[in-house]
Amino acid sequence: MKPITRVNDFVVKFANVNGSGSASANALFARAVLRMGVPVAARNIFPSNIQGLPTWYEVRIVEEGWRGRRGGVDLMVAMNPETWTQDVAEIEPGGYLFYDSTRPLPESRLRSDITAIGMPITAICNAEYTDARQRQLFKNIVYLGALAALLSIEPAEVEKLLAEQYRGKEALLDANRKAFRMGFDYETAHGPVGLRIERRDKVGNRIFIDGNKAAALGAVYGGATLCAWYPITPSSSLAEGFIAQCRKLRIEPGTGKHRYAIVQAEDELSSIGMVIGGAWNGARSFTATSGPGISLMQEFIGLAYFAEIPAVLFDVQRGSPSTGMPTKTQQADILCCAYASHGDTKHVLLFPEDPKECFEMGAQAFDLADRLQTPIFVMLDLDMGMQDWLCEPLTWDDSHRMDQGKRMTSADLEAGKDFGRYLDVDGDGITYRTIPGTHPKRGAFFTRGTSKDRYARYTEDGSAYVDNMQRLLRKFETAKDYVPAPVVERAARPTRAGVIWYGSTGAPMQESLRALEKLGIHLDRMRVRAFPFADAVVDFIAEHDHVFVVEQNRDAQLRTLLVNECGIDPGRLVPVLHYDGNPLTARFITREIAEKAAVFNFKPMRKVAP
Amino acid sequence: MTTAATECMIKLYEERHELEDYQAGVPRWCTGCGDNAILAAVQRLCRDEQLRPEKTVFVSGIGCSSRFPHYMKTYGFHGIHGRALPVAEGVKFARPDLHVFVNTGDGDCCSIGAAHWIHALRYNMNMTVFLHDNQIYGLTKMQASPTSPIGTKSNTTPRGSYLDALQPLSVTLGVQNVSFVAQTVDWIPELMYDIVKAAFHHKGLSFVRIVQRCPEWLPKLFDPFLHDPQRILLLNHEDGLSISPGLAKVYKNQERHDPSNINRAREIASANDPIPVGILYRNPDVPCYEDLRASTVLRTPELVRKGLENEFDKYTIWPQGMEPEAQATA
Ligand SMILES: Cc1ncc(C[n+]2csc(CCOP(=O)(O)OP(=O)(O)O)c2C)c(N)n1
Ligand code: SF4
Ligand SMILES: [Mg+2]
Repeated sequence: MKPITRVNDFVVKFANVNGSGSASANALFARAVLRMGVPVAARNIFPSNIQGLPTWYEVRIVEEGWRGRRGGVDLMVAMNPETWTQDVAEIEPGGYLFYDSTRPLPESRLRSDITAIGMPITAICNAEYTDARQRQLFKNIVYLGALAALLSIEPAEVEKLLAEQYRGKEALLDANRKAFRMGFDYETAHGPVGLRIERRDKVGNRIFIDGNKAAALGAVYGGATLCAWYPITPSSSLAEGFIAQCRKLRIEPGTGKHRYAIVQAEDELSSIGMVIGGAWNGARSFTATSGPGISLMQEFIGLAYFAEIPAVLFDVQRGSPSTGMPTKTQQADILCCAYASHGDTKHVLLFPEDPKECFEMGAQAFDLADRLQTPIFVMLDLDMGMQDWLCEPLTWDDSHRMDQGKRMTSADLEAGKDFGRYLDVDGDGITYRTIPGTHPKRGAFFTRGTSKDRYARYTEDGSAYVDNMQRLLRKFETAKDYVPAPVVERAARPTRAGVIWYGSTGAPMQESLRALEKLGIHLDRMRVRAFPFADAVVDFIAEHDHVFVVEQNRDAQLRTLLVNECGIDPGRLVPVLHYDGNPLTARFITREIAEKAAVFNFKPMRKVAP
Repeated sequence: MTTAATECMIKLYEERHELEDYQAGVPRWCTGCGDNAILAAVQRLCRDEQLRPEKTVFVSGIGCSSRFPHYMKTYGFHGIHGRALPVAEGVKFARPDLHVFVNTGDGDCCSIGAAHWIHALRYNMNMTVFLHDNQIYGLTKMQASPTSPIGTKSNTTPRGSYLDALQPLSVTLGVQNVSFVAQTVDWIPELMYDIVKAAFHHKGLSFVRIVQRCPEWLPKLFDPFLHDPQRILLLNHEDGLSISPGLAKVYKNQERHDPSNINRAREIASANDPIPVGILYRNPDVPCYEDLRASTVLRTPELVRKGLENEFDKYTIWPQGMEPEAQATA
């Protein structure tokens, strides 16, 4: 088997033990590649456990800038004896295996079609360090040095990164530098392998950030002042990010007073209750949670819908149902959020595709909540929420003014304007509200989850109830004009087939479309960015005989929503589903679509590589 | 193959369970995690009491501590966060003959599950509840819990937690129908075992708070208590724990406490330093909910059939003798 030779286009995977301190060395590796101007797509694969279980870090080095996983591994850094067999099996034929050869391995544990590169890392560290913790930690930096030599990463870049990381901690910096050099010098003597990183200028001014941090910043820019939440993977770092940002950005100069309140509530039920209470008062309020939290919040969400109280919910979706796969990714809360709570309810959902949109929609959600006076769900997932993604820099338009929606002012009330909390003055289904304290005598109203008339008076009168429910539908129609529009792109050639996707599925999608083109399959594409669906979504589907709907759940949830809400013939929407908890790959999408396209006979097919 | 009844009895009698019969796999807790010590004590209890694995259930919520049932070779039920107790109650209602144990964390029990906690105490069903109180959220990576000492720095309270810690023993002792409350620490195996055993033998809900170390997130929290035996207060009594001479040599700080004295128990519970270890309260006379609800009449099939028939008769339009044909002939 000829060893693979590739430049700036291969996959390196690190197999580690959870809690062994490998995370920071692995992140350094990814950053060093970025500093050489070569894009990466990097992902942590970790268990729901604190220590001892296997973890992996997968770095796809890809000059073309694709953000999805590729599938397969070209170089495995196998540092976990427990997962050895599975790790070695995953290497592509002709690939490479880097391992700790302190204890010699029998031939049988290796493969003949790969190149094995052993380095006695433990022996080197044991000789160099006496402290057990140091012996363990520096192993990671030693293999980082070795990889730099094997893959032609410029050592100066790693050393710069180390210097930044340990600024002000000279002793630590020296120790790390030395460990790095030990690894580097050892492998330099053994020469580079067929996988190489060459300096390019393909990163530009892009940034490397995870969606949770970006969404937290979005909440800051969106004017959020109250965050009530309960810890849950993979959303905790969103709320924790908000804490960190507020401590920097939301302190009143001079007095040092906090201009925000962040509460770790006793559970999710209480969290959403606090959010609703805060938002009822006009404070921009949000919670961050994941599927189990959304499930608990259902009754309150119905209240916010029916009593028309703004609220923002960030749902960072994970492997479900129930506790499911808490550290894996899915897009499986779509229906449960769209129709959250009992009775006839529908909610606005936003689908960011990457950290940049997590920031933008994270901010926009607060305007929408105030404008539409209803809960707004921002649908992240673990893959975009917890992994660092390379994306365009976050930007903010300083001329943007908050949209606080329709409010009756003190002057309006003083002038004797007719105030009915649920009175549809403008015909768009959105009514005026007052904030407590608006006027000393007028404008007070009673908020309830029971049915009411246009003046917020309790009623069980059937026609008043229907009148209110119809207005809520009108309001939902109005929402279409406010939510982010879908993004449409035409295929290079006219085609009768299309594809729809949303959220993190976009990462492998562009790459897959390129591959499909090469197979002669041309698809018009639409990225849906919100629910309720704009009319353009319906038009897009109508223009095509078949539309693939690619998503990361078992039950084709977005497709169901499309069929249900837009009255679309289900036969026209072809589901492409991936839900094993790992981010889907371009290879997967390409294969699925190509197979299905062959059945529909869009065009004569060539054989598809597996 | 058939086995004669006597032979079967002999086999049952001879069947002996060893420690391995309760051990399922290597626990995946961090080195030095207090949960390991709790597991060891409970496995020993099962062996010493010769609990039949197929008639023993461990029910838990979600958290590091709630992984406990994974490591027991008995029936296990890993439920959802905060809701171990209702599941355990359901199990007990349906099968009062099973040994039911509950493992729950300080977040699981005292935060999200607090409502169930209060009501489980009121129900006082016969089960043993272990509160693994590490005073932090372990699994979700270091957020403050209701039992975190004030000032605890965590990911959610970077400048230290704001509120005084909730004292689980005080809450427990404040609920009507409480019947057994004890406390122990994970680092004194002998006491842990004695307390776990006393809890198991109590009929009713036994609530054991275990002060549990989490070396991952709060590595130094209990060091002062570990290094200074005076900072442990042993509660001894002929109706409570009797302290072995060996332990008494190390732990000289002791108090004679009668577990029937709830007022003194409440005082003891409110003190955190020294940490009280022992049985704070025991009242064997509090009825168990499952017993209160048991029928006083023997339910024979005949009785049930009659009851059902009477029930159905309520809905008839034509009671017996009032059918149209009967009226016509009358
Ligand atoms: C409804 C719901 N909310 C949040 C979580 C996330 N979660 C899992 S365990 C846990 C807390 C763990 O703390 P604790 O109960 O003290 O157990 P420990 O890990 O410390 O043993 C949380 C918040 C969840 N699984 N379900
Ligand atoms: S994080 Fe803490 S509680 Fe969880 S296993 Fe590790 S030491 Fe134990
Ligand atoms: Mg805990």
